[in-house]
Amino acid sequence: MTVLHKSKGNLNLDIKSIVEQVQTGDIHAYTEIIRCFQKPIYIYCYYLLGNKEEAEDASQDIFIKGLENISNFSYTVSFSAWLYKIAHHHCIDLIKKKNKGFKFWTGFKKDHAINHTHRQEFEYDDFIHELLEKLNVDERRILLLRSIEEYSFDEIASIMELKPTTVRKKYERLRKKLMKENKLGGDIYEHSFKTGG
Amino acid sequence: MNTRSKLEDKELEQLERLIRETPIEIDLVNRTMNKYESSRYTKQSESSRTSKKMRQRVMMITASAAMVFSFLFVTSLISPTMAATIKQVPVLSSIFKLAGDLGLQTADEKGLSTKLHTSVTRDDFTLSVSEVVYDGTRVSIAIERSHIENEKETLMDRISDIKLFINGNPLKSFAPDPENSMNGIIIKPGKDKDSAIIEFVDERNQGGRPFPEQFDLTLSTTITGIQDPLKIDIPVENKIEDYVILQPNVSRQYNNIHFTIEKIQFTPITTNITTRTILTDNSPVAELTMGIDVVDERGHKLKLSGGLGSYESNGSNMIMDHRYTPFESIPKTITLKPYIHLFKEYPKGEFQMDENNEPKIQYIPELEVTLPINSQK
Repeated sequence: MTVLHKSKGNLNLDIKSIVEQVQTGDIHAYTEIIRCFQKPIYIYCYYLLGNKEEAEDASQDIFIKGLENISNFSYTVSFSAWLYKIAHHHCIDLIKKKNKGFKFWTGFKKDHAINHTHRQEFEYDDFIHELLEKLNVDERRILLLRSIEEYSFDEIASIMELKPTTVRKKYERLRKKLMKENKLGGDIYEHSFKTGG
Repeated sequence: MNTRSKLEDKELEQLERLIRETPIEIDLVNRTMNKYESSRYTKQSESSRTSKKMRQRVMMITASAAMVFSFLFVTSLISPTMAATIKQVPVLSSIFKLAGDLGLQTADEKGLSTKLHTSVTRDDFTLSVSEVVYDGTRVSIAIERSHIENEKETLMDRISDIKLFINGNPLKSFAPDPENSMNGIIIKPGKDKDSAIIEFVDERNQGGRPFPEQFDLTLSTTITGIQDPLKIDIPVENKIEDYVILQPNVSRQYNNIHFTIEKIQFTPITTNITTRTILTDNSPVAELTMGIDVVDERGHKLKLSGGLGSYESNGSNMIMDHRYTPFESIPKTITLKPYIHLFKEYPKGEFQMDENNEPKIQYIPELEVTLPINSQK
């Protein structure tokens, strides 16, 4: 919890030393990493998979994969970018399996039950889910990485293993998709802008 | 035009901020580290085994918020420091009777279950087991915690992991393929926020080891906020004397679906139908998602309470146990009506729903089977 309040620069330094600690064999130090990244990774999984329980399971598995492979990590990329790469592959695998019917029985019925008992919690993100549904998987990932971590297009390109120009193009397309039907406040903004208000 | 894209920027920024600031409280640290520790044990024992063909599982869970817990094979049991107090907990009304499926209610009424007053306490949390039943197909356990005023979280919310041991052996060791065993534990809501029902199945019809008729079950429950799991020993006994097992081995074929009813088991608390489905064109059977309605000669339909199937990865051969509520008395005939679920085009994989908010199904009449039942009585 203490790590969260520091500035981004200090944060990176802390993560670096924790990662090195874990790499030398101090497994318990990894708990700091989980504490630091669990919320953003969970949000990423949640908006990609659409389901809170799957997001929780996926997040745990992603952190475990991170720990299992931590000896393969070196600072050619930031640790969080590396973790997001793992998250990406994990979620894509899950989505593929979902579409193949593997999780029908477990996944669907759980969603169904959850929707009934947690109605209030869903109101905040109903609106976000609706918008995300308009996007394809790549567009969603770009939007989420930009929203959650405020990564630059170059950083996003490296995580997604795409060219930066491709990422920019997809970003433009997703922006158009979202704005097309979203007239929310458009008129009001325009008016106050013109009159300098 | 410039104005427009500036507004869009602003709105997009708004959305990005909303996403970034999604209000969520989450603590995955303990669960993740525990899962990691357990998986290390599994990996160590796996390296010395020859590789087996991956066995996939499919579970059917019915609507009322049943959740599945995963557990992993642990080769060395952490020696438990058993909880401090065992005390008497008065049980006012049976959880099975109020919350269980029809079968559990019957078990309670007919004295086929075992009533208990066992509990364990740790850190001011008392978990108790009030009732257990086993009929050769499934074990159901009624659990409760002592009531706490203004407690928002249900008992189910507070349980983060469940491990089960039969005569000291992990449940997984009874599965057909212990290395690739899916979790088989379901937890369902009880009569109120402080109670729940834990259930797991005997997998003998799918190549698993049958449970003994009588055994000691150790229930190890991890409660959020409490470091060590709470363990309770539960004596389990199959008290059922009246049951019927049939092995019709009747098949039907339609297009690429070859469907066989291998076994039907009626106990006073469960109806279990074991089927084998083979797709003759080798397409993946997991995508078929077939279910069966069970009806007697008067048209009375049984309610589905769960199911478990297994198949080889990408395989076209699946064996499945479908579990339903019991019949009041053995019927003259039963009709099994297979159906498939109808799916939406988008989002892919979601069921189409009817006006009662139930998944839409389509019967396959060519696969229907009606069997006369010769009662033992």
